[in-house]
Amino acid sequence: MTRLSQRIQPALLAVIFGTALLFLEDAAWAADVARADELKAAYLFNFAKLVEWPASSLADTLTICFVGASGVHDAFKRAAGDKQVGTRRIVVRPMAGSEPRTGCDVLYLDAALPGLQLPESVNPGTLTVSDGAGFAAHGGMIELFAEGNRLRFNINLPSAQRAGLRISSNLLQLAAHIEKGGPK
Amino acid sequence: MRDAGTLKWLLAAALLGGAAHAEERDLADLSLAELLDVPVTSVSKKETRLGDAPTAITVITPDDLRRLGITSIAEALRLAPGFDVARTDSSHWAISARGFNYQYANTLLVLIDGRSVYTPTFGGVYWDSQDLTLSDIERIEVIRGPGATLWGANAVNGVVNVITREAKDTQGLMLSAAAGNADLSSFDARYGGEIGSNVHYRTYAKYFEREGLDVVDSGISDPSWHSSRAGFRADWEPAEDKEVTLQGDYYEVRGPVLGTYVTVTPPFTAPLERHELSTGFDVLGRWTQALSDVSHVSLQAYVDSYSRLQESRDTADIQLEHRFRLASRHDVVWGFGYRFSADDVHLDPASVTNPRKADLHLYTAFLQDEVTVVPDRVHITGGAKVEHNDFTGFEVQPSLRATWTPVAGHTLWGSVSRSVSTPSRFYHDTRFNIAAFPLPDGTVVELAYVPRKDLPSQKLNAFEVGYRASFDTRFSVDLAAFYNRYRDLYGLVSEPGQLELEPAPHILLPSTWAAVERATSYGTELSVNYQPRDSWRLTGTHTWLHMRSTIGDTIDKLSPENQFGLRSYSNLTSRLEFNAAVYWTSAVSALAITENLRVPAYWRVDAGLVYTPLPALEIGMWGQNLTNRVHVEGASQDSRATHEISRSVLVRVTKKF
Repeated sequence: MTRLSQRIQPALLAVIFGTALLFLEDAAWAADVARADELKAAYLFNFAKLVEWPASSLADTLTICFVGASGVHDAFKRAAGDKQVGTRRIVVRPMAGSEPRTGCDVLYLDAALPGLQLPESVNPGTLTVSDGAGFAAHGGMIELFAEGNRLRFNINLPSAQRAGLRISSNLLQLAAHIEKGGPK
Repeated sequence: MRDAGTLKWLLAAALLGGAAHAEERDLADLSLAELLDVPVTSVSKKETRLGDAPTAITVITPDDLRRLGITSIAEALRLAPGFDVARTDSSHWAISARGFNYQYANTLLVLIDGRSVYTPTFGGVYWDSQDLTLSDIERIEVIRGPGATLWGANAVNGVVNVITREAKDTQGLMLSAAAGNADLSSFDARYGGEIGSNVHYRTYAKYFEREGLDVVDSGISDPSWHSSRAGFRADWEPAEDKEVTLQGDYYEVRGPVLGTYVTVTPPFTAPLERHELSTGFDVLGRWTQALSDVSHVSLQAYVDSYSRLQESRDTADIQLEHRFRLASRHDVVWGFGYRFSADDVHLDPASVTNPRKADLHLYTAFLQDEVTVVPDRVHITGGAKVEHNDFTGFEVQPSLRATWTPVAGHTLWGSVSRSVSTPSRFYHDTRFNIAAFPLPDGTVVELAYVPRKDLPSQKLNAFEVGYRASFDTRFSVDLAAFYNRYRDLYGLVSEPGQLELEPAPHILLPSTWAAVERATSYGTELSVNYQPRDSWRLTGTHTWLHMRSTIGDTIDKLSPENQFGLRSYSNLTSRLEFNAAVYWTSAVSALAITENLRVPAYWRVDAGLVYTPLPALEIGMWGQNLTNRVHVEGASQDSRATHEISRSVLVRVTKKF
């Protein structure tokens, strides 16, 4: 080895070890920086587990519809597409913007949808979730939002209650904010 | 020996490789409580619903500031189409919208959390003393066109509304340090906490030193300037329907003042070289109360006091605003306010402002109704603001706006409005010397502007239309077009010469102001957002401006005819971003002290990497003005020196605890 690379070598090694240590420390936290869509999909799966649907609409399957949000749809399908919520088998359904939204137990709306529909036009028994800003304030049931680099959610309790859904206290406790008023 | 050497490298590679692929638990297996702790960076920051706003508005987000390494509010405004931002010297910018740009431009209204930072001395903003911890900004709303109905006079061509985040959104400790060859050093610290469950607060302290710019063709560099500031914000929710906010700041800016002023003895200009200390503080309180489900009232009061080379000013302002829904189709907001401003104006040793000290009173009242003509389809907004000021008495500024959404995702809007720009202390009270020179026979002649007390306000009738559309979830377009007619613009009129004896005998050739000029301008502002994939977003902007006035090229060419911007935000990996911005500005004729300076068209390319090795640690590195070694953007109005901006680099480390 030349003299120059002999000098650089220890410095380079120190940098590599240092960087590796950073990664190890990070791994020890077991908290890797995740793609936003995978995180939203994971939240959605948990929401489905912590909400009770009215007895009248119980079926063998739990249908989760996605309007837009192809990234969250793909991530959800990968992560939970073959799983179950209680005794109900999960069915994942992508929908086009103009399709009528019937037969959905959970409806995930992409925030960037043109003319985000207010939940008035959605059927009862459907849990509406979106990452659009102001979704909960406008009557949506669960709104996902970023605070710094963490994902949080707001819940609009009266909207869910009007649709006949019962939200578990475990879910309510972890919400950043619970809207008590109706849609504005 | 060789085996040990290789082993060393293999071990390092294994460690690194192993660490990088450290246990990636399936997110779906995490409980909700665990999910709340998972950090994420996403390039698509969903905007608030701008789709139905009947104005040309752009929102600059903290994500824009963070990704591009932007270090000041003035520089952030480059991102908005329709805005013309030119750095004229080390600590001064000429910023305007839709024309009339120069260092003391008076067509913009700038508010920080509801506090107006416009000075009635010249009708503009001292950009060097407007600053905050940029990561505490919630958003910057940039509105082109008259915002007179809601914000009042002197919002003629645009409004910049800087809104900071609530204290509950800025909790914990944040430390940031940056260094570079233009932003020499800067330190930012912010701590946010809570008292009980319904009081949240934050305090911050910030210091920076910026290098002085070089003077063109001279090898001289201005000395650097420093700014220190500290402040706080506290938000209290005593009940579900009440919110109280209290915030305050204190700052000190030290910088060199390099200028010249005119004397009537040889050599006829004298240098103004001092180290200036500008200090100021402000305190603002706001109380918002919901009167019912559909009505809320808000009372805001602030005091703002500062002292700098050109003036010192104490302002107290109080405003009441009530917003309510009426019969489900009307969204009404009305209010009134009073502002008191006491000043002491002393622009330079030779200019005279008479009266030097003035107390200014401003009374305002406004009313606006947004009517839902067809729900979710057609809205019409009408309103007016009435003001009484000490220079021109009563001014009325009405506007009518309409929004039409024929199909979900496509909105057309239009507006007609009237806006005024009231005379400032400069036009109303200041004698300002421009130049002095000797005649062949030794007589000294001095040219000066002299004030005019009976000036009416300058007026604008503005007609705007716009179209906003989102096509599927990845592509959106925002286009605005305007036609402005200005009347009663101030032009110069020569007055008869007179003999003056002080400080040495000379002939004064005065010019005074007269509201005799007119101008017409029209143009377009386009913004396009395209997101080819989840991890990559492109934003393109274009601005076109055509201006014709009876004053001539001195005014018509102050702002560029074309501006173009393109920025790219991409998340290369979950930890690494590459962000770049390209700007092109066409040539202008910048207003300088004696004659306009031709500033050629220029490109500007900024690019940087932001690396987030840990969720709470961010390291950014940017190069700015990469394509030019140097370029000039505008002319200084204080000194006869033209400054150039050079290539620079910046490194910033931010850690949250």
